[in-house]
Amino acid sequence: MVLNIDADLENADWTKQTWDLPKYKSDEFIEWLTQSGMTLTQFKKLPVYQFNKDKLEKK
Amino acid sequence: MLTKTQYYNLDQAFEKLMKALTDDAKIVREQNILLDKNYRIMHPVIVKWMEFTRTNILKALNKKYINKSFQKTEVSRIVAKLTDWGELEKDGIRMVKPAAMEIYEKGGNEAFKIAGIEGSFDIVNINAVNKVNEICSKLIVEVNGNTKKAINTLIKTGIAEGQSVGKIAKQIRPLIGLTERQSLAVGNYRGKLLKKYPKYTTAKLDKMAKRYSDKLHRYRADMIARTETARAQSEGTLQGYNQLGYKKVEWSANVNACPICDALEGHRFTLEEASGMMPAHPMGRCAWIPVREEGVRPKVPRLDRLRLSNANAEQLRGEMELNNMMFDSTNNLESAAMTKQRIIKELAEKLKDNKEFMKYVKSRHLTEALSEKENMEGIINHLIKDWAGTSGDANTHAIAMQMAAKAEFGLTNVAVGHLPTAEALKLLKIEGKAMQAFLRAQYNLTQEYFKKQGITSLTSYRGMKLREKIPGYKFGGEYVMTSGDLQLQPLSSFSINVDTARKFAGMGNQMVIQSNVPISRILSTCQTGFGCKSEAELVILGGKESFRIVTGRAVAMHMDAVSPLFVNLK
Repeated sequence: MVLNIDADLENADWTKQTWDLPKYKSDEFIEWLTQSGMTLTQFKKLPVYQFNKDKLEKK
Repeated sequence: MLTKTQYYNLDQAFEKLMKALTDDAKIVREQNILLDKNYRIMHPVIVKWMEFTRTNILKALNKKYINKSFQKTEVSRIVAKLTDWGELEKDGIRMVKPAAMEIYEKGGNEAFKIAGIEGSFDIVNINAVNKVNEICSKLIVEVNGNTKKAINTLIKTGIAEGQSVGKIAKQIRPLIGLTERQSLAVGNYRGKLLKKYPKYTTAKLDKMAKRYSDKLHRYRADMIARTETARAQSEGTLQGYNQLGYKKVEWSANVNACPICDALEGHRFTLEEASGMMPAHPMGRCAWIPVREEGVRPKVPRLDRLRLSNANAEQLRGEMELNNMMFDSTNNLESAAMTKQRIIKELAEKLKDNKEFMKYVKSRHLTEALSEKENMEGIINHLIKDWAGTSGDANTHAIAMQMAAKAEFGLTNVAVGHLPTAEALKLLKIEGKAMQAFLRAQYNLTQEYFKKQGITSLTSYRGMKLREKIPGYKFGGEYVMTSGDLQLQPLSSFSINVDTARKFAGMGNQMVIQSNVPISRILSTCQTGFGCKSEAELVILGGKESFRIVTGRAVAMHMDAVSPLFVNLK
């Protein structure tokens, strides 16, 4: 059997449990988001947002 | 004929002598000897951590910062925004945890010794790991909180006294790291010196005050080290009693105990109640004695579990030492933000003569106001942050980076079928060469970093939530042996911290992969490129590996079962 552990995005992005990006919704964050070709809606689907959303949306 | 006082004193002395001759007193004495030994482990760590915190605060607290902040905002916000306190706390926990873990383990082993049981304490038990995390976290938050409060008071006092911003900044520098009370004591001492020696120059008075503040710094570090040693040791002992099946413990005060501890002497508590009680005050030296219920003998932990635990404990210690070396000693006590800045500069240096990358930099000018060098560093920063966003998903940039890694390092047998590559391949045609140069620069930086430290391989971990069943593998069941192949994408995340992996794996049908990774397979670490420092991340170059499951026992409950899947990367 072959086990592809990265096929599941949550597994592939397992080390994104800690927020290592610019402060959420700051100018720097928006600039990075734009440069990486993502919309906020797309970003919100990523594990890094899902792992941290409780903290991010509280602020 | 004795007076009433003399009689009382003699009675007290006799009582102490009788207590000193009991078995319980012998246990307390032995625990005190252990405390002194353990203090020697904790003290240098605390000194180093406090110096690290102080250095980071001082770097941020310059006249320019205060001047700028004073005009804009109130004092509490000046202190709150002074530095990334959250990161400082995480760094602190990382520095103190190995020592706390070691002392906790010694405390646990002491419980076995007291019970007369051969065997050893299971340090890798999840309750033990959680308790040590809790001890470290509470300590760092409390000490940093006191430091913050002291800075706040010092700035407020300076303003109230009508001092200039420059003078405030200069005066508070030697006091950073002291408590509010200690900082004020230094101020009072200086005031008294001024009154007593009016002819002394300011420089001389400052020197004398500094000598006093240095003494207080040493005292504070000593007090924290002694208190935290007692806390970790006492909690470890309680955990040891727990593993031996004891239900209750008795407070045994030191022979020369203070009234607080004396009042608790002989009181019995359940293990849950006892947790967190000791030390009752800073530098406390009391001990827990197990309450032996009649007819109930201490439970001897199963040997097969112990054997596995010991092997993993060794591994855990090795990992911690490495972790400590990678994250503390070798990077001049950098905060996460400082590390990122250093990485950007080192990569920029490596890439500045690369035509493809420089062409890419020119095509992506971030803002008009930036110089070419600043623009280049900004782009490197963006590329590193892209990894912090995602390793793949449907993000074109991330997928293109995966494909660039496959091409640059000639990776075969990597898993790419799950990545939607159509758009990424288009981007790769335009930016592929620059991406490859960027990856190569990280790889070279990583290889140099490890070569300098003489490290040739790393034990690393991967938390995993398993969606598909592995034939023959039973979660939480008996030992099983099965094998197969494991495929990784071109850039795949691992961590050198088993706790990070454990936390992700969580409870239920999850597992943690443990692997010995040769350095040649590591693209980057959080010290050299892609990677999150808080998660001790390293990014490895993927491929197909064989795996072997050696145990299917309660993965999330015990560390001895936390590495059921061994993968050896070649």
